[in-house]
Amino acid sequence: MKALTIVKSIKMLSAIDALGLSFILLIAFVLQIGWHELPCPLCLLQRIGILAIAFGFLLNVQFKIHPSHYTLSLLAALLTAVISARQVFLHITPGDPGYGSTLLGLHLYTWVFLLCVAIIVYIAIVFSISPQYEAVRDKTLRRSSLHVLTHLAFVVIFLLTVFNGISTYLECGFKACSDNPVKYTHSNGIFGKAPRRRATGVYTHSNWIFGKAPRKRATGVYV
Amino acid sequence: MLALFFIYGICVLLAWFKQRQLAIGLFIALLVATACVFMHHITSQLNLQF
Repeated sequence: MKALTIVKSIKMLSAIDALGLSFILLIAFVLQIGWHELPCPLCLLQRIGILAIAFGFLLNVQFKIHPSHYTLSLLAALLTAVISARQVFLHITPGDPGYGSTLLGLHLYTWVFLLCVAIIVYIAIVFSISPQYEAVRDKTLRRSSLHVLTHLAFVVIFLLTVFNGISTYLECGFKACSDNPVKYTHSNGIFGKAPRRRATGVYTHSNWIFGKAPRKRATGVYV
Repeated sequence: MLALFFIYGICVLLAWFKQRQLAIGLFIALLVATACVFMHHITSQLNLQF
């Protein structure tokens, strides 16, 4: 009975974790659409990383809780932490404005790094609760509100993946994304309007940091 | 990058429809692919001096 309560609690917690992570992605999406902030390649990789962290929690909700599910989330959190740390280091020098707007004084990639550290600590703690791995057979697991929460988590994560995929296609197409994107490359076909403004230059990360303007004009940017 | 979201979407669908082994296998491939894309995007030099 005690094991059943723990299993239910951990499954509920995993569903809430997955929904919480999707809420973070939703904030990034609102900033992208509302503030017209295009995500850079490292930002997109961090989005994939956050989705990947949520995947381990989704597996916990859908199947019997297993240590390997936590391992997948841990690996994803480590990878995302490395990606966000790389972006922090890119903008760490004094006078660098950073990439994008700030939230409570920190850039989004700094928040992602802190989030990943917190998730690694969180998983290290939850991972050690051994009764959650016991085999529990109970029909209430399928009938309870947990069942609804499971499908809700899957729907939200899947929809976020689809919307992020569409946004990535509009921004980069099938090619590698620009290091410092300034516009959607494939939005012309969707919205029917070609941008009249000429691109003045596509900055790479290094150009942006060192303050050098590219010598060559970008001519073949619009698709 | 688009392919990564596509693969992740398939992983979620596989997990949703109870294909655990396939979902985990594809997810590991996704992690490796993400690391490869990351390596491709970290060629610019860091402006750090110690």
